[in-house]
Amino acid sequence: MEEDAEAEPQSYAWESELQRTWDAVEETADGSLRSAAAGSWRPGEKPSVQVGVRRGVMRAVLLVLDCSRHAAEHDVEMKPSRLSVMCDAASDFAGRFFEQNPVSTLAVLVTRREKAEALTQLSCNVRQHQQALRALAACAIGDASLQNALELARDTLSSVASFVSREVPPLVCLPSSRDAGDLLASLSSIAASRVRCSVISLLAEVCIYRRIARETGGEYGVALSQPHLRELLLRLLPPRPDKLAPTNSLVKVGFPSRVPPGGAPALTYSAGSSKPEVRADGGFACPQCGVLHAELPTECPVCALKLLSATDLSKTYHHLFPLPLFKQQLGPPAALCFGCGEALPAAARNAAPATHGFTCGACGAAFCEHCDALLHESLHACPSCEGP
Amino acid sequence: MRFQVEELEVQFPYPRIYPEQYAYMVELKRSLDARGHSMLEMPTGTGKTITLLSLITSYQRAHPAMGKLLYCTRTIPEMEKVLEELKVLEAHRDELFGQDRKDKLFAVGLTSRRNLRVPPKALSPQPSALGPALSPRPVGARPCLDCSSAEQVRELCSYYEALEAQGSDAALPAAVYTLEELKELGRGKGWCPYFLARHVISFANVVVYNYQYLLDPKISQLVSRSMQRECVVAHNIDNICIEVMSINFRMPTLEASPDTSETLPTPFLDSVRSPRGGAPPHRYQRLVHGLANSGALNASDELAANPLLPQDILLQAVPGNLRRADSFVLFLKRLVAHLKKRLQTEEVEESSRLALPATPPPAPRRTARLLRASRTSSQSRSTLSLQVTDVSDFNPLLLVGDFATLLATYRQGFCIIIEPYDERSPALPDPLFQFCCNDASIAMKPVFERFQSVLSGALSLLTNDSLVTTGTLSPIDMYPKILGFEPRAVHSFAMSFSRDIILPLVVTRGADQAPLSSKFDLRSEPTTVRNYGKLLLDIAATVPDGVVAFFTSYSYMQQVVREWHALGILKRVLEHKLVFIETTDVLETTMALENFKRACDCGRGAVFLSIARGKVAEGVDFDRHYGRAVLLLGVPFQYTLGRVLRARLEFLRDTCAIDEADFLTFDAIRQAAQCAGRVIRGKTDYGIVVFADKRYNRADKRDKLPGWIRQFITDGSLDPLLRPRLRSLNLSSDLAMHRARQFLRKMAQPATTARSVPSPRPRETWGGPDAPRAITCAQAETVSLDFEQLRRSNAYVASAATATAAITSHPLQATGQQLPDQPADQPERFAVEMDEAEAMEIAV
Repeated sequence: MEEDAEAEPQSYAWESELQRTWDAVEETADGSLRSAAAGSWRPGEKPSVQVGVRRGVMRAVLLVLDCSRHAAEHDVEMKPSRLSVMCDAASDFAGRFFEQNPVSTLAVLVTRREKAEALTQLSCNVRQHQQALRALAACAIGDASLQNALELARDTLSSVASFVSREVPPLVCLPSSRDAGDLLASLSSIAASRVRCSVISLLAEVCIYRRIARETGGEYGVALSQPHLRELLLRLLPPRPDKLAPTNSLVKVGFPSRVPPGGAPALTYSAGSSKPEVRADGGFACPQCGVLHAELPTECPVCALKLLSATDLSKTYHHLFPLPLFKQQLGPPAALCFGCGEALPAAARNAAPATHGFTCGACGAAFCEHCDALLHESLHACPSCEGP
Repeated sequence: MRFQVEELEVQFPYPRIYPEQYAYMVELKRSLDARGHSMLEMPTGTGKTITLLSLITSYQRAHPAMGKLLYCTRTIPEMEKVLEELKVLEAHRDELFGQDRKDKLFAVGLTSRRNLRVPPKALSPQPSALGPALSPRPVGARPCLDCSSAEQVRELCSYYEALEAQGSDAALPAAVYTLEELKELGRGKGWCPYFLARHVISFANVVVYNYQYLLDPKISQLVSRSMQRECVVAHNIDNICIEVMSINFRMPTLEASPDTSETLPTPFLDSVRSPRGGAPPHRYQRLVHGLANSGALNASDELAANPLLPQDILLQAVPGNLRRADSFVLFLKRLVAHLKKRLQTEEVEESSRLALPATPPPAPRRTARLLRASRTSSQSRSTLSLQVTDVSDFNPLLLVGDFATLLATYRQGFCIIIEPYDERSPALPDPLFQFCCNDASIAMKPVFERFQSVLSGALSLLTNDSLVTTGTLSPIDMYPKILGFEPRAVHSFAMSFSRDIILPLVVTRGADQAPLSSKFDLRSEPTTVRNYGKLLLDIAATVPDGVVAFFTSYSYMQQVVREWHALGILKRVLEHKLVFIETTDVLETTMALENFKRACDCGRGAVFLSIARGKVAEGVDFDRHYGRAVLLLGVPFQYTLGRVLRARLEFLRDTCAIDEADFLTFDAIRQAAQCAGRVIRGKTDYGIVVFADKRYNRADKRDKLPGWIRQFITDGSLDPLLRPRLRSLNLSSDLAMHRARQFLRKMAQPATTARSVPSPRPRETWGGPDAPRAITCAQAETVSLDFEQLRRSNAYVASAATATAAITSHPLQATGQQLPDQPADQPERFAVEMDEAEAMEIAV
């Protein structure tokens, strides 16, 4: 990677090992080719976790993609084009987003030809977002307008309930803003409506983007390469400590009961659409008005009740009580991984020198690299001491 | 924090210190101990000011017998910054030693009366940024004219009178006073802040002022006192020395002179003829001796303080025929008439002395003395005439007086050039009379020399002398020659970075491989112009926010911009960024700059097209996002056919043994480095510097760049097979853009994640077993800078081109470079003392 090359500037191309990049290409489900090398990014330091912080676990996230002609330009670090890299990262993000935030909603906006348009509406349907993103990859044209995109996002989010945390992460590849209007004026109105913009730039640091991120309480990042872009996006997955929410308030939610398929056809709402369809494959009945819904979570269009399943709600629990990071274990006191029972490697690949594994701070159990990732990303609990 | 620098306890107000700051302190301390001059170069943004202040004031604390620190700055904001830093330092000392310690620092800033004035309503429109140049000479008769409004001319300024009434009892508690605080104080106590500042500089430990106060003979006599000094002077000091000693005038100036000299005498004559009538007698006394000055000073102090004129000349009584105002005016008239006659010439004249006609002066033997005295006289007389009108009316006359004095005082190092027309428009007669100083050491010499004499005289008051020159000066060994002194220590400090914040790119070819150069035979070629345009376009498309492009001259910029417009390049640049252009008009340029910054702030991005020797290059900072890239279109050589430059080159060749080409390159690269320095204003800043000329690729040019740029140049000529992405020399424009893109992405990462990317080149940081204890205790990076090693490593970069075998070996083994030679002892070239007969010869 970049650092490795910088560290040994004197090494020649022919001195390094032959890299058969063509062997690493794999075909994806939709028939496009993808380089397996893209996954070899060594992640940076994990962000430290804060325990006991209030977080807005109900989120409405509008992902903004820059589909200007700059997104179609040739870029050595982002192959085949910035746009396809962006779309890949975005659909990956969408998939993981709903795993971690089951009670949140997502929408995708695009900006091209100096305009902004909604690619998908706010919904929690992963497939819908991913399909739209896959179709987008070849439509980069015209100039982007961040101002229009931000204003559209603000308008869309204005209908969202006040306890939902509103986030707009734009992915931009502009070296300069070409908006006709005053971006700073829209910025202040967006900051006033409590929208957090975490801007991710694909080119270079632009002062105005950094300012937007700072003034709306978001983060600013510049992607070095394709894996780094993914890492930046994934940093947005866990809900942030919510400093912007005004006060505590009770939210009325319904836990619908499952209606098994095979009954009489009934009007069923699917997520994200306001028109019911007649179906006979069952669904979830709203406890307040009894209307069927195909998917959860959703909001009942009839009685405007937020509908959740109890397991979804409990899944968000780990954000409030996260598992603390395990310490890197330098010596070899434990030979076997507590999780999988395999021998801990002498020196893990790509890790800091002489890393042999990770130990839980509470009970001291040792884990290998993969188990550590599993515990922190999926299980959110230590199997040894059973506690975060 | 407190630490020891070679047994000297230093208080430093910040919790960490950079290795180069520590190294700087050590050098400074050594040169203070050795009581010699030294030259220390350090890049901008490394915290020179606080380092210097904290070391010298700590030294003052340890050695109370040591005299004052005179800190010279260029502008008022700089002065304020220094005083603010001092305040921080003093606050830190209060923390360490308690509030009521005895040895508090007493620091004041001194600037012109316009900037130090109590009533906010002003007669003058703008406070001048360069303080002293236009400040009217204070005299006893009307000390504070501009404090009072026009109607109240006859009344005396109450502030001045209040201060005068206090006399020497007007004492201030020791503290650091910024200009604002001084004004506040003056308002509170009813004292004139300007005269208060002038009064207290004799007690202060630290005095901050513009360095024209020190160098300009016309002003320095007013403020310079017999005090010991450390002074800090910024870059381009030789040019300033030359500027203050050179005088140019055109026909209109001379036309104005006789008029003023006619209006001059009436009030003056009145007051002289009836001394008891108008002015009070003690003021009259001062005037007659030509020593008019503020009441707090006595006459002998003033005399001793004049750095320019030898004492015996000053002590001579003013010639009798000048003492009378009418004859003095007659004399000036004759001089002006002669100059006018000389100006009416059709041909270019160049001479080292002015042949004055023998006829007009009544007695030739007296001319020299007349001329010398004319300055003092004209000054006192015109200041007296303030009673009737503004001093600015008499500027032409003062100019002639100054000219006459300089002419009579110095025999070498000056030349006179009369150009009957401007080179650009030969048809228009626009005669210009240039009295040029070729020798920068003339202005500096009194400064150096006084220290010497002070030392040999061993006065107890004055214990030390040291001249520390900092700023961006390179190559450092040229300066002692030009300024005519022998430094005890010459050092150039590199900057320590946590990451590579500068990306120098030497672009020698366009994308079509045609060479890029601003050489005379290449620069007008359509290919060159197009490639330069393409380069600018690429940079505008790649680099976010602000970009500054420097052309070599106004005429070249005009030509290129015209052609770019025709080629449609400008229009395409406008797609990415707005374009602003520097013009000769200051107001226009200021507006352009303002809008440039607005465009950068709102994200649109902008390109500023500027001139390498223009005002923007001299004093405007493009920090942070205002300047992410600098593009140098060509090498900013001076116009080598200019007569003034030719005369100076000749002088340098004959007297300092400096080769013409060497000096020109030195000057051009210094200017280029100055332009490059516009974008890096601190360690957290980053920027790209594009040197777009094939001549930058040559070792003789490149090695003259300052160390802080050179340390980032990775040498491609060492290793032609080095991958282009890691090379910064001999690039074509597309390769350069590739590197720029990578650099921008890398620099945009938060600085903490860059910890894993320390610079791989070992020559930048030298860890050693003898790392200074002080730094470790301060938890700073324990990197000790060994100067010897550092210097050699820089030399390594230079000499490595020839020593290709040395690439893998240790740089210290590769070269056996010695220290640069100390400049040879220079003969006394400019004898200031002349006997009268010699002086006659020159003047006549």
